[in-house]
Amino acid sequence: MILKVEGGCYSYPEGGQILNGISLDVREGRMLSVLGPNGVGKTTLLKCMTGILPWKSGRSLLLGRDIRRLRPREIWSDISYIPQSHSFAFSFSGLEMVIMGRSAHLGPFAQPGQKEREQALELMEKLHITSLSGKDCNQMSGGELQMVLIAKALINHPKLIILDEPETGLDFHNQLLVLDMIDRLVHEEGIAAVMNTHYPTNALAIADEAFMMDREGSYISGAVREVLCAENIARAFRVRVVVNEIHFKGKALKSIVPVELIPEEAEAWNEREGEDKHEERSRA
Amino acid sequence: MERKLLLRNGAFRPWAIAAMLLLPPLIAVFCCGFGRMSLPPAKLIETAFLTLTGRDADPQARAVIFELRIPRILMAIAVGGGLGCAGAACQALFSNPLATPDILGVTSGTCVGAILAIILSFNMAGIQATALLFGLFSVFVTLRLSSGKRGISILFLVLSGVMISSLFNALSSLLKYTADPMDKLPQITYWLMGSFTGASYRKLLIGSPMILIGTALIYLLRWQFNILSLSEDEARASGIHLKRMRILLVLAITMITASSVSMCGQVGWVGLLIPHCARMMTGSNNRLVIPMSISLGASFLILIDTLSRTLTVIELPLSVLTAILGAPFFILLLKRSERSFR
Repeated sequence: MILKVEGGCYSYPEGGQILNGISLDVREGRMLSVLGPNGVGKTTLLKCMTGILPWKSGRSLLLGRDIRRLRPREIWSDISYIPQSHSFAFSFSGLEMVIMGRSAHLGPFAQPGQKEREQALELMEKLHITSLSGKDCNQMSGGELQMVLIAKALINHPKLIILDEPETGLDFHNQLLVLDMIDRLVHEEGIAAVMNTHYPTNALAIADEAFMMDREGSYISGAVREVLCAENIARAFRVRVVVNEIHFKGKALKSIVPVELIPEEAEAWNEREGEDKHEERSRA
Repeated sequence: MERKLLLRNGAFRPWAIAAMLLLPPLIAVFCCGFGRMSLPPAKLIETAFLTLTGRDADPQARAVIFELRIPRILMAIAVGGGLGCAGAACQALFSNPLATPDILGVTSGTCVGAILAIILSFNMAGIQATALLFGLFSVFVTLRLSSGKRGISILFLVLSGVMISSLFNALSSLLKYTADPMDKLPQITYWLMGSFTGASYRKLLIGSPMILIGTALIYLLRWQFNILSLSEDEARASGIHLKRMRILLVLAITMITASSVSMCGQVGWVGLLIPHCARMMTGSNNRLVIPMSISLGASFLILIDTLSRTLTVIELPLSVLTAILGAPFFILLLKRSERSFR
């Protein structure tokens, strides 16, 4: 067990509970995907479980130890976090950015030396991004930057990598590039991963478990194929979806296509009518 | 292209290190000969050599060099190097290339202390000490206002810094308004514009230790500033102790700025101009920007001081010169390399 959350609750300082009684496990070599509509607190969940934000009640255990009792250096030499938005006030080169990933392993007065530099260059070569080492991070495309940030996360040699919507804003090619990379890291190198995503299809393609939150503050978690069924997605996102199964190179790929909004009244009506209506709606 | 000349494998080339180390002393020796009493290089070397070996030299030349010019130059090196590196640190702290130490409220606090001391007719050491205390106090207030349970919020640090600044500026105005317009007011005004005129070894002894400590601290932590200048979440997720790092940095910047202002009044522009020039030469990596800022800042202020005492019959205030020379030079540099200004 790499990371365990027990009964985590969080509310914003202005009031308004956003996360309530969250419990989840992240295991070695497994990927957990977090899904849910905009504004339900997916990013907040990632921040709370790593201790960037403090749980109001409940706790996170990193390798069995309460994260609040650990020093920042102890937490972040095991976890790498790639936040969602990226803009940099200063223009660092790709190489400089990757080297910054070593910070949790260097003492407060230490400087990265030739060793860290070679490590970074080696890693960038492995990820086929050597050409980005001299490029200004502010001038990189979304895909290039995401690869550099993945390299920055990996040079930390984490046990757990946390990604906040890594594929958002990328074109098809770069989406596959980034997702394949994450897939390989988790399932071949045995790193644990937690990934926020807006795309159930991507979660189905590479995640093992899913954690889906809805607007009412409840959540469903479990094996990705069980959680991300048409009925659950319809309920959480209030859209009708069609599930397609495609076979490619002997692998069954599931794709989920949203087709129609479920109007608010219908939702209310459905709740009055009970469970059988839910099933009918998702079959449609 | 300049970067290729200076750097290799992300570090300075040996000749660049030598140049950075030698630039301020060379400029210092060069500038030592200029002034009201012109000293040709031969005379300069002769006097220095004779004095240092304990023999008799021309007493007038000796006094000019050792009692007037060398303290000034040393002070210019301390203040210039210190403010250059404090500026770079400040920009990393606020992740904003336009931030200067003034944002923290330290400059206006120091000025209130100095004005108060001038009105109360303190001697030079008294003025310096009072100014220093007020500068430290103002940042203490800023820091208290901006730290909460979860560490220091950068937004609150800016806001409380601006508020403390304007509060102390108002106090300054009030004090100036009540000051004797015949005697005290001109003295205050002249002091505020900045000058190395009163430079002495004693002043240096009071002021420079804090500049040295602050600069050393910033120098040692310089690589960590890169991480500090990323987004809040990325900085938190880097494993560095963010709150401790920010407090340490604010303290270092404060010590440098308060000491500088208390020694020689306000010297604007150095904290903004110098780090930008450094960044144009080295890129944004603070590992390289900080040493370059120290070297450039020291050299720049020696030159400015030399100009201030040689350009006209009366001494020109430092902040006037740094702005008149600094602003156009800065704009020129920016135009030449717009890519660096991001």
